[in-house]
Amino acid sequence: MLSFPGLEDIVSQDELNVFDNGRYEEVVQMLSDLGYLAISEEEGIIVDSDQLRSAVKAFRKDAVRASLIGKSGLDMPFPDDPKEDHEGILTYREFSVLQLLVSLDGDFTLKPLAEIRTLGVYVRVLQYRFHLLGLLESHPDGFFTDELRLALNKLSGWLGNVSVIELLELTGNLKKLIIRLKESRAFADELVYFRFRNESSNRFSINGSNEEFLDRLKKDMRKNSSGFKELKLKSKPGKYDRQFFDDRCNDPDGKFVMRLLQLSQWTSGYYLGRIDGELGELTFSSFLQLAQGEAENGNPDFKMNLFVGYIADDFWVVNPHYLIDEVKLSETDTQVTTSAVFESFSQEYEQLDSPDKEVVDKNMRAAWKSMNVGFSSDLKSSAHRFRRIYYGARSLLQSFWKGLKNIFRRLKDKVIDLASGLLNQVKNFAKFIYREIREALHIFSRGMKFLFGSRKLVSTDCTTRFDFDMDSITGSPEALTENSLKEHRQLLVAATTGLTFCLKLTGRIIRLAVIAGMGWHKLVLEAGIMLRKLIKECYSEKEYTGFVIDPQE
Amino acid sequence: MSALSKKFESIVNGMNLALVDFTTLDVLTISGNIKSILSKEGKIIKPVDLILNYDAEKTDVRVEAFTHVDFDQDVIQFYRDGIQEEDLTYKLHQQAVESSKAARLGVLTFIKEVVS
Repeated sequence: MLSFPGLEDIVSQDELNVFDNGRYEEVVQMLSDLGYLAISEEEGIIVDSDQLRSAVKAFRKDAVRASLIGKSGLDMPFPDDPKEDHEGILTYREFSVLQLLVSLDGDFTLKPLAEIRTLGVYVRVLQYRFHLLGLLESHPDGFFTDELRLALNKLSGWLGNVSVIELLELTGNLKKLIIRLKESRAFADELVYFRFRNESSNRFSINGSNEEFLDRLKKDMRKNSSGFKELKLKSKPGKYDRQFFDDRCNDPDGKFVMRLLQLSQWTSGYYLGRIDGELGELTFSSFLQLAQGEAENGNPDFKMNLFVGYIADDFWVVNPHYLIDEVKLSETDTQVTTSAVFESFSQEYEQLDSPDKEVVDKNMRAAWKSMNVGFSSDLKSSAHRFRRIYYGARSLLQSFWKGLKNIFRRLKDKVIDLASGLLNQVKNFAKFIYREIREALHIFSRGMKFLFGSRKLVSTDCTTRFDFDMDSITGSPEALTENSLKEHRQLLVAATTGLTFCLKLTGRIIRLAVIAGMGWHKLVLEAGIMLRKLIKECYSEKEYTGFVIDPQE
Repeated sequence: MSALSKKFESIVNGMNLALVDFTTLDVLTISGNIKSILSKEGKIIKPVDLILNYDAEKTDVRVEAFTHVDFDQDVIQFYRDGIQEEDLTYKLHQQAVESSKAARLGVLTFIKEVVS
């Protein structure tokens, strides 16, 4: 649990409890995504403690083999109650490595096939990506199988002239992959048909109120595109061909494109559902939210009715080319970084008077809480078991950056209606900011506990006590057993692994608080910014990319 | 200045860094009646004081191993007669030394960040 020795009278436990959410679920999802963990089918149970322990152990072994983490991780203890003691499940470093592995924002590039084939963790990353794309049926297991080889060949065939290295890079950079596929011969004429019952169908009727759909489609597709001609002809009143649309709804290529759109919606924070290539209520409403979000972000030209069209009966058609072009999926603004978003938010926040600051804090907390409660209960319900929250950063960042002022204006609203789906942007923003702050505060808490706590590590048979200058005395029984040694070693390793990183951040936070004389709410924002800067200093010049191993581990 | 920053200031001032010796590192492993040494809340006995005042005849605490790392990284290690590298106590002591070194590095980094 998050706590700060010596600050109990300044920061209430209620304030801290807000930042104790979401980590357990995030770890479960990431380990499950990489196939280390099978989520239970039973209602109410996500995963039991022993399964999680085994999954963490298997991940650590793989990550050590691939030199992603240091060997000391193998000696780390595992908490008895991982849900309560979620800090103890993984070290901060392991946690950030996992985040990197499951990102689809181009932050992590796989090594050439010859090198990764025997390294389970990399094979799992590749399997996870192909599984999401629907090109691999089986869940990640770390084995380079024929099924995976076939999936690689299939994607390579669609993309045309592409090297293996580029192919591997594209699988981890969803936006780039979608653009490349859109430009490929295989998908140039692709339209997506689906069955969907919705009350708003008349508003989207391509032969009624929404004739603009076909006009726009004509511009987006090749002049003699068979896809366009077929749609126009078969949907005409009097020539309506129900069988044709029925068949097209089952077209595997169409389902693949819908899956890509779902993935794009997922990584932009609009879609929290299954990635299954089927268009249902959640997917449809995510597109409505995208249209609303684009309007708020200053792109009023994006219109839902140019993206989806209603044909007849329950048949609909999607123009994927329009969405990809209009929301500028290819846009990669390298200036948009986590630090930049944090700093802009912090500056906006500083300009507020105290009552408005309180409203922003209150609304941020409510949005974060609502997001975590929703996700946690979705994971418990077997009906929603495979809903996902995207934990990458770059796609979300670009989405926030375009509409940051607008998000801030919303956060300043006195009453924020979090039940409304249209506030997804606010929820995602709170998730993004609070998740960083959560990590910074947990690291800070660990530093404060180590420095100003008892510094006494007690296992069943042994005790170690450190001075402030870290001289130590360890007491053990005369007949020390293997188990006692193992248990105490784990404690020592857990207390000191990554401690330098942790105390570096702790030192910076304390120094800034003393020099700038800031209060708690400003300080937590600054802690998030400082963590990001420290990661950049320690690991890389750029954020995330070029991830290297911290020599201290 | 906010209450929070005042609190941090008093914490930093209370660290009494002038009284702390970062030039050497002492790591001690003991057995026997360890509670008499390690369970006293508040009072911390320095390893070197325990060694200097150690009299095997007058105490029920046994010194198993002691490591002193000097400011120039010279290391002096002492092990009780009969302890071999494969012994569990030897391994426990080695881990304690590694952990103390890692913790020392962390604290020095912390101090550098606070006072720089």
